[in-house]
Parts: sequence; C-alpha cells; structure tokens
Amino acid sequence: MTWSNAYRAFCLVALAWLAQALLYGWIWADVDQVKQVPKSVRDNPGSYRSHYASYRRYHWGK
Amino acid sequence: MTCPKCGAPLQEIALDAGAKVLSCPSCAGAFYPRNELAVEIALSQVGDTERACPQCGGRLRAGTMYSGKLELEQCSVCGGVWLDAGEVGKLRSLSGVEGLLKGPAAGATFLSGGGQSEDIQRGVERFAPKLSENAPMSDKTGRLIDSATMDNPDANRAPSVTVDGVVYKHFQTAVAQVVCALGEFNWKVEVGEHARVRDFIAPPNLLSNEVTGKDSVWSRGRWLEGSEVWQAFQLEGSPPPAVKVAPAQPNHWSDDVDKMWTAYGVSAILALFIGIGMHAAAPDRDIATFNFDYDRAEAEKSKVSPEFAIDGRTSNLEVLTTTNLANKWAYFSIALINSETDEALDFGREVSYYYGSDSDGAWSEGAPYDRAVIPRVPPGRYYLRVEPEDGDAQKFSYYIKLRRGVPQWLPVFLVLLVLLFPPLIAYWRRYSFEVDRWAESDHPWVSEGPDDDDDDD
Repeated sequence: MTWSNAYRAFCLVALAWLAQALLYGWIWADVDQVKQVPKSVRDNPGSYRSHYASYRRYHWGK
Repeated sequence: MTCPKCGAPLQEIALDAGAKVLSCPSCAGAFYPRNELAVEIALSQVGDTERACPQCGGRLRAGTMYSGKLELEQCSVCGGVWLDAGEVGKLRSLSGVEGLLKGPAAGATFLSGGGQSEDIQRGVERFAPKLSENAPMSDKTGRLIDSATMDNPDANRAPSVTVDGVVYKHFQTAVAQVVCALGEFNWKVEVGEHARVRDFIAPPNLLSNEVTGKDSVWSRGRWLEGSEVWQAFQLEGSPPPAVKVAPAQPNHWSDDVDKMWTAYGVSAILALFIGIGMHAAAPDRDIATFNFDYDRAEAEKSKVSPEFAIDGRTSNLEVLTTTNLANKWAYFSIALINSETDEALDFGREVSYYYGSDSDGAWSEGAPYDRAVIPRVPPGRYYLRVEPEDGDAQKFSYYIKLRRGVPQWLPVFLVLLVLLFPPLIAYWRRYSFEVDRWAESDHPWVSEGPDDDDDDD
C-alpha cells in the first residue's frame, strides 16, 4: 500500500470519527464516572464524596 | 584455429555485445569475420596468398585500399578480413570510422565524422539524435532541443534539453580527462585526451552529452533499482544498500505528496460540511435551571436539585454556573447523577471574578460564571449534586443552567490539524530527497557555508 492510499484511508477514519464525535457530543473534558451512587444522596447530599471536593484548591487570583 | 601469419593458436575475443574477433597473442594480428566490420571492404590489386583463412580454411587474398595506403587480406570464401598488427589503426584513420565494430546486438549508436553521417545504427531505444553544436532550438519535428548557447554558461543558466516532449534539466557539466589507459579499446585512446560531459536528468531518465572536438555523442539511460539489476543478471544475494541519491533516481514521494494534498483538501471540505450539518442538526436547547444560595455558616453546604429528564439521543450537556461573586472566588464540585442507573459524572469547576481600576484604567480578571461541557450524556432521569467551597466569600448566590446538545467546533479543528501532519511530513521528505539529489550537481538547492573552525586557544 502506498503512503497516499494509507493516508486516504486515514482521512476516511478521521472523518468517520468526526461525524460520530459531533453526533454524540464528544468534547475533551475532565470528568470522572462514578458508579453505584447510593440513593440516600438525594436526601443527604453530604453523604456523597466527590472526587473533586477538597481536591483542588484555588491557586490564582488576587 | 591458428594464426595465418605465425601459426600461433588464435584466441576468440568477444567485444561489445556480440562482436567477436580472432586475435593472435603472438603477432597481434586479428581476424574479423564478415559483417563484423563497419567499413566496406573493397580490395584493389588483389592477389592470392599461401595463407589459409583461420575461420573456414579458404584461401586468403591480399589487396590494398585507400589508394594503396592500406594492405590487408580477405578470405575468398567467407569474406572475413585479416589485419596485421598496426593495420587496425590505419584502417580507422583512413576510413574516419572510430567504432569499427558493428555489433548488431550492441544497441549503440555511432555517429561518424568525415562525411559519413549517413552511417548510423539506431539503438534499441530508437534514440539517435542528429544533433550538432549548431542545432536549431525549435521542437516542431520533435528533434532534440538544447537550450544552451555556444557560450554555454551551464552552471549559471541551467539549460535544459527536450527529447520526445520530455524536458531534461541540466545536472552537471564536467571535463573528463584520460589519465591512464589499460586494456583493449576499439577506438583510439590517448592520455591527456579530454571531453566535456554534460548530464541532464528527467528522473528516472538521464541524458548524457559527451563532446570531443567536433564529435558530440548523446546517450540516454534509465535508473534501475538494484533488485532489477540483480534479477536481470541472475546474481546471487541482494544488491548493496543505496547510499545518497543518484541523479536520475525517481523520487517516490513526488506522487504521494500531490495525492495527499488532494486528499487533505477533499477531507477538509468534507469536515466542514460535516461540522455545518451536525451543527444544524444539534438539539441545542435548555433543559433546566436551578437556583441555590451558599452560606458558609451552614453545616451542610451541599445541594441537590430536583430530578429532571434528558431526552433524545446521546449528546453533550452544557453546565453553566453563574454567580454574583465580585472580587471573590469559589469552587464547585458537581455531580450529574442518573437516578435510574445510580451512576454519576463527577467534575469540578472554578469561578473567580476580580475587577478594579488603577492608573491605567479599569481592569478585570476572570468572570462571574463558568461553562463546562460534559460529553456523551445518555438520555435518562438525572439530578444534580453541588458542593461549593468558598475562598473568601461568606455568602453568595448561584444558579446552574443545563443545555442539551451544544454544537462544538473543536472536533472539526482537531481533525483538520491531525490530517495536516502527514502531507507536511511527506512534503518534507520529498524536499529533502531533492536536496540530496541536487547536492552533487552544479545547482545545489542548499548552499553549504564555510565550516566553522574551532580556534585552539
């Protein structure tokens, strides 16, 4: 396979990825997926331990 | 077969692709079979001799040519010619024919001087330019065109030659000089003899022009892969690896670069169409808005929103957090929890907004809101869990607005950027190849500066 043919195939793959990314709303985001969240969180939100709580501290500004 | 002059055994010597002569190692005489000589033999004052033809045994007949200046013997049966030592040179100079051997399978073209320009044998490639240094410049009949003038500033003007509609670019001009002659030649060779050699290239073809005195010889060649040569001669093993770039070596990146740029152009247009189409088809609508208040004095600062529905297909979800912070900052740990699957998408966002004025005027830093986009949120029923943390704000209000299927241009730009690299790399490879090719020519693409010498202190 020549480089040009390989590149054409790569273009097709990239365009296919682009179509599904735009269709399903792909975006680069720093999001964690947490499973088995207890239903008690609805009534007691303090029982949920966020991955980001007290993890980051404000580090810029006046 | 024995020498008709001294009786020594004759040796058969194969010359120039098919031509064979019988040579005597003792007296240096040679027997040329009929049709091997490019010169027509017509003897005068013919007389029989006692010598026998070494090829067929017939009687040799002696005679003269060129008004008695040359004596030689010809077989009365097969027509072969016997020449004593020294008579070959005489025949060449008297006939004006440099290449005495025809060599029917030689595939070579001989241009002879002395008014014998009609005596031309066309080679296998049918390349027989009738060119002299005074050839006209027009190409109407497809003749070879040489754009060089008699001044021929080859190094500066880079002349070109056109053959069969193909333009050959000047590669280099050199003067070749004979410094040593070792072996047997079928033309007169003198030490000190020089020829101006000009090479022209149109990869994979190469034209070479050799000018000696009034003679101008053009030859055309084609670059071959080492494997082709090995296969043609059925050599064992594999050819040595290529080093550098040969003048007529084809640049395999040339076709690829053009095709890749074409593919990139088409892909860029398609990517833009896909982006525009998806943007038009995106939901891009509000889902819900929730208002909250933060008070540092509260024991439990986390808030939970009412349940809401996200319908439609899997898409992104924009979370816009807006506050009334002024010269304050806050951090929000937000979880989008699916009440049906008990799975959460957890993320954190910072909001800070500072403003003021100084000697330079009003200034501001940050914004009182933050916009986050969560990818691939499937449809279902959800609720938000928000846990704010303040830096220096005791109380503030904030609301969170959710929007479904917000169009994004980032993937389009990302694809365009990623697809750009391969053609750029291929273009660089093609360029580097040509730089290496022309580095050894009279027209280098990159001039080398003087080497920097380190001073020894």
